[in-house]
Amino acid sequence: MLEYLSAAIASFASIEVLLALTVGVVGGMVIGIIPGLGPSVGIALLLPISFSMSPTAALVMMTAMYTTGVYGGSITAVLCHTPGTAASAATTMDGYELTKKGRGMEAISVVTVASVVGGIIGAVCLILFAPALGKISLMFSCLEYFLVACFGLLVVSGLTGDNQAKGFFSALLGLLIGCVGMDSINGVSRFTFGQLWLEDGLDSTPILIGLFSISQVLVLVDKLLRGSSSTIVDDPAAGLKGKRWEKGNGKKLAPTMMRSSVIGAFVGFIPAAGCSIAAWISYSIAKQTSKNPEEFGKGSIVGIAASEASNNAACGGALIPLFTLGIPGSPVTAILYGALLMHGLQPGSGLFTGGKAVTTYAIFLGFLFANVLMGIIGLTMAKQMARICLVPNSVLVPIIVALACIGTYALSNNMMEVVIMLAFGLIGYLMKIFEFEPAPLVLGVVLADILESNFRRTLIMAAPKGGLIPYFFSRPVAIIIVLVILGFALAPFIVKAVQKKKA
Amino acid sequence: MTKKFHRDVWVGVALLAFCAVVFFLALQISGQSAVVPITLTVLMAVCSLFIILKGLRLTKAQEGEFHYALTVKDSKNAFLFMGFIIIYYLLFRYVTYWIATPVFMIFAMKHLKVKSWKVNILITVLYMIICYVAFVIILQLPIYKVGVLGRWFRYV
Amino acid sequence: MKKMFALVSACALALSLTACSGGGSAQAPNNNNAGKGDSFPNETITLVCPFSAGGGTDIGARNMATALSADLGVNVVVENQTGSGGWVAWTDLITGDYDDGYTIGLINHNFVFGELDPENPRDYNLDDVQVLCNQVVDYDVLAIRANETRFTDIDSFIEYAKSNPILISAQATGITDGESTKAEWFNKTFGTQITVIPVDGASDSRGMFLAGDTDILFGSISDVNTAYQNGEMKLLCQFAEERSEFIPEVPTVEEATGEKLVAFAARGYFYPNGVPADKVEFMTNALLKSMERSDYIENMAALGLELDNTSGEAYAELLNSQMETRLSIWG
Repeated sequence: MLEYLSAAIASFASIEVLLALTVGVVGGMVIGIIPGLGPSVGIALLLPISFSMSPTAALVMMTAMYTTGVYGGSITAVLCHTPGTAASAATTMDGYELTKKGRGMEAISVVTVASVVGGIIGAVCLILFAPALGKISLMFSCLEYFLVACFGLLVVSGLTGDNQAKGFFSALLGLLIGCVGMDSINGVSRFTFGQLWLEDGLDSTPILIGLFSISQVLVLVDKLLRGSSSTIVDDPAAGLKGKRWEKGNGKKLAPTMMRSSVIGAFVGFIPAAGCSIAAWISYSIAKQTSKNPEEFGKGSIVGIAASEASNNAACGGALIPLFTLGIPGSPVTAILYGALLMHGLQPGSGLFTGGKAVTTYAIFLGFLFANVLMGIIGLTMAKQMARICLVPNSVLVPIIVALACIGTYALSNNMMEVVIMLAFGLIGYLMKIFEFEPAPLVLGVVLADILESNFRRTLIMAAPKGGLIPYFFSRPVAIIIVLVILGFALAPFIVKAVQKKKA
Repeated sequence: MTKKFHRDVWVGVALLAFCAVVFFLALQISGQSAVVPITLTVLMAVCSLFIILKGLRLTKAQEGEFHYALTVKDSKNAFLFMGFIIIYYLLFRYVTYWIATPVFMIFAMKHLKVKSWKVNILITVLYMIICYVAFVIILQLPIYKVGVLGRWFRYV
Repeated sequence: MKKMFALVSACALALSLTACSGGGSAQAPNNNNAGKGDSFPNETITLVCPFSAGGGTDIGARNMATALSADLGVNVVVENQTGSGGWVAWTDLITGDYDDGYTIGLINHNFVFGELDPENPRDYNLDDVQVLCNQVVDYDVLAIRANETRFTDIDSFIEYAKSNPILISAQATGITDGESTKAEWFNKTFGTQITVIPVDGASDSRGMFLAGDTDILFGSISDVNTAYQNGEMKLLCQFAEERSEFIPEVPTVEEATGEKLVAFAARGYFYPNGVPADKVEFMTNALLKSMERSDYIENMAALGLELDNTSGEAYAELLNSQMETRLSIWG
């Protein structure tokens, strides 16, 4: 492996590769910032451009765009309450609160540092352990996907807000929305009303943009016209109060970032799970283990660090089954799979030995460098970016609306996505009025399909093996996941009981 | 005079009605596929009941008028702006993005009290140029298919 | 001021992207073919791919776009319009106004079976389109894992499957799906007990197969060939008329068992019905000519796809050819 790595480093002497890396990093950040356009759309749009490039340059550009696209989505999540994809939704709550207090620059720095740490850990896992971890990812199947999604569902209970019944209602509504479309097991149409465009179900991205960005835009408009505030920051006269980096932040955040990165890389390489589930799980674990869980949701930098480290680590993790087995677990990696084929790199063990190994490791190194470059750009631009929230809302609001419309259209070149986004913008505003939390709804939509279809697949697979229970006990990974879930669910009660005894 | 209910009671009732409609639709789905939607609808109905109960409790606890952080009545501005966005969408859908957007942006900025016309127009023009370069020239988005005038803005 | 800075940097990015795309796929060649003025293709031609970017169909279309663009001297772009297994794009092409011949659709054999879909019967069939020519045929194979011990060839597999349940994965469970059809054929012809697990895509099937969750894999040659050459999978038979040149040592199912079944994926190009006949003929010839370009053949060979240039009526027949087999298998 070392000889491949040293040969791979040499390929970064080529101007084409360096240019591709830079374009990937900067392009990914820009694409991530535009609401609706996430890494998957970005990479799909790059595909024709990369057609004539060398395999190394093309794949370095695309994997760079993957990780920076996730990061870019978090920047606007923090500054304008406009997450690019569901992966950044967990960051939105805490980040935006900080921004409102004028500490946008600090929030951006935390996002950047955590993303870079997560991204680097993900990349290191990829470089060092890809073939070995690839084998482990084969131990996950429908039952395990289902259980991981159950874990995700458990996270919802921490997001319900003050009125639990309302929180659970929006989570259930999210799951129900996830049912819309063709049943992926038997092809029966549910709630499609004969509409062709509903058959594939509702994508979570336009729903997310509607619930988070458009509804927030309406709040800003309302505030503006009533004259109570004209910028996102509560007190624009004071400007950007926060420092770039509070002393002691590093020490405070290091354990969370490390833990979240490992969780992220691990969840990422489970094919069905992906960045957004990784981010939510890390966020809620950080909340549960925190000494001051009440800060979460009100501007906790620990919360930001947890979800950000995790979603970028998950990118590296997701590349593992793609390269070692040719199993893409998400829309982004599915496009990367096509890109690999297009450049004659058939995923599998063939990529890790012989002539193609140099290209493979060059791509992995490119992914690592992309994370570093992303950090350098992010930190130097933190102040400039944070100034976005000083731009008058009267200018910001029309731009966000126009970008959200073209961005959601670009998701699948379909106007219906724009309709869905606007409808959920209105629903999101009504939810704000009646004090329903939007986050559980989005999580419900993301999880619905993973939960239902994998459970039903498990039933089919378990039938020849004597039913669900014997099948479950024949699968060690599933047992471990269930134990982790039980531990997570019961930990607060145990802690309480122990404290009571002591008292 | 009957005492006014906390609004959560009415919210719960509305959601219950919504559940009833969805339940009716879910019953039409055939076979195994109906199980999950029906279960979810029932659970949602249970949640609505809890929302109503909580609302009743709040009604009892409250003396005099209710105070809400945000109400429909106070949000006229927001709903008006949502109306503008919908008009913008219709223009986008039936005319073209490249005409709808400048119209919307100039109008919206004026509505949101950007005083200087110069700033207004400058931002709009810059946005349009960047957007066109990025989406049409570089990324070749087939947005020319949207709206009757869309094909005039195709870049070939 | 800072805003200006942001705008300037965005512009710079845009420029660098453009620079990078120089020499990119289907760049507009200078329209200097003398006298082209009003002859048929004098503006951009669009290939509408009903599946997502990066998929097999999409990559094939992009190779075709490059070749066609070089031949015709106009810009050729690929647009992805996904949804409902292709039917969003197909419905739009059939019902919309695309009679000027500048929009070409991609079609595959799934189009033919749409009207048989038991849950969502489609309104259109081959009578609603004019097919131009085929691009690729990809025959199906039966693969097992290299370390499989329960069966090693087709006979021992059939013996085993008669008394033991076998799991496979497929994208749907009915007549519209090729994998399910093959499973049904095995069950009916040999009395095997194959059960189908519905999954979302070919790559899911592959993952479940490699993980040992399913017992065998019905895949296409282009899907499994690399794994086969690397020794990760073994191929028991191919569902072709005669052995493919990619895997000449693997017997056809007829050679191995005496029972015949031909199954393949074919994808090519079509025009909506409203396009006039002279344009149909022109474009068919143009596509066929582009397929003879050496760079095109080279790029397609790298993907492991068998090229095919059946056109016109013969192509319609090719698309329809599996219809009878499937109808008889499913009764």
